Amino acid sequence: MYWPRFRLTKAESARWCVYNNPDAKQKAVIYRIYAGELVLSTTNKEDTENLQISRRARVFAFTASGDVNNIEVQIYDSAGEQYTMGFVPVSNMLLGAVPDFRSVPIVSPVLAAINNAPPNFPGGWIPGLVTSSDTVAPHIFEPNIVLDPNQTLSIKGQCMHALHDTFNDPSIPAVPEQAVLSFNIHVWEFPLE
Amino acid sequence: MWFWPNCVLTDYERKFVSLYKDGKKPGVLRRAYRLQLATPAQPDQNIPAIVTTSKIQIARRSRVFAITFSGNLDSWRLTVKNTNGTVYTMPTPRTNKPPIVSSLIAGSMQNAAAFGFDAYANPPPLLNAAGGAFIRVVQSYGPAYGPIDFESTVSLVTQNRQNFPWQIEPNWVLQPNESLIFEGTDVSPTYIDYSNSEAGPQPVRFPQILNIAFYTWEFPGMGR
Repeated sequence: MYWPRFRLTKAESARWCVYNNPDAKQKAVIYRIYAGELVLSTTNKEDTENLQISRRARVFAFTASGDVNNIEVQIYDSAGEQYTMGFVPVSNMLLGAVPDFRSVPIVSPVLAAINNAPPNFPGGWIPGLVTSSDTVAPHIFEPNIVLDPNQTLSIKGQCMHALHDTFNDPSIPAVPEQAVLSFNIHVWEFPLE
Repeated sequence: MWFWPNCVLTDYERKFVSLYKDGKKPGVLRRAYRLQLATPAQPDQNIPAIVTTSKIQIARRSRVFAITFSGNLDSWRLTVKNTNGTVYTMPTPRTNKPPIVSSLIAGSMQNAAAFGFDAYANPPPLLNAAGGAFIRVVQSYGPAYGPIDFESTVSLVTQNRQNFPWQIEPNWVLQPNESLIFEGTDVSPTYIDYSNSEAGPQPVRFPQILNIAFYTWEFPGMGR
């Protein structure tokens, strides 16, 4: 399946179960989503979202939308473990059409008709027009990333190309370019008691 | 199965139901529920973000195993919770914003938060400069991308699609008469409307709709 089925380890089965059973002492595991957002701009070239979960948790999936073809991420936890060695483009993680728009020229007649469009006009903030970016599948961590209670998982993002002001016509006010990635980590949480 | 999960009963559930009805126990009922979140068109004069809520109460004990969406997946932030107070979609830690629907599922990278212009402060003059047939298309982007969402002929850019249902695994268990609550916030950007030549450019917001369907397995005759 594209989405993993939850399975407990032998050790986990002693304290937790998949679904609650009034006849048993184990607690049911909870499936939850934690949202994060990376906002990059001409002045904020790197952004980090730190997600802390009070319960022990297993992170099993990552999904995102936004400027997936323009942002690369690094995933690591507060214990120092790195789950990506360096930065990995989100497009690579989520599959689909994966243009790196540093390599995509302006080819659209629509864009060519726009006066003073900067060289990077098709990228990032016009999803789907020239680059036809999309995402196809969630990114699955198998085996899952295990977080101890209150451990932090950090998602650090940076742009794959330099952001800059978007118009080169002095009569038009410059607009700082922005790249945004909305992402979610999908976790299985293990409640206490 | 690839897209949809199989219904696997726990030992406890087997005491009350079987997958299909037999002489002793009732069968599990598979059901779909539909909700809609919608905001109307409106002038965007410092109107705060619109939050709409829709909920469905199910009389039987049930397990929610999948959710699918259609409509403006890119323009809604969504919180899913139940009446017991369990929040299933946690907001961003720094800005306390629920996730955008398109970021929850695979298939669409469109995201209202990722459009680069600040429409209010910087109405882009290039929209007027572009001519002819290009206007509509160009206006479909950046701050003015609202029209694409109900302009069915502009299929090029409407990538608000989903490749898979959002599978809930393990399923969210609703006790009898518990409600599942969907709270959506319309975060669609402002569109600069140039059509009124007398009043000049007007910031407006276009209607945004999110259709939500969620799928349950219901367990007749089963209490907690």
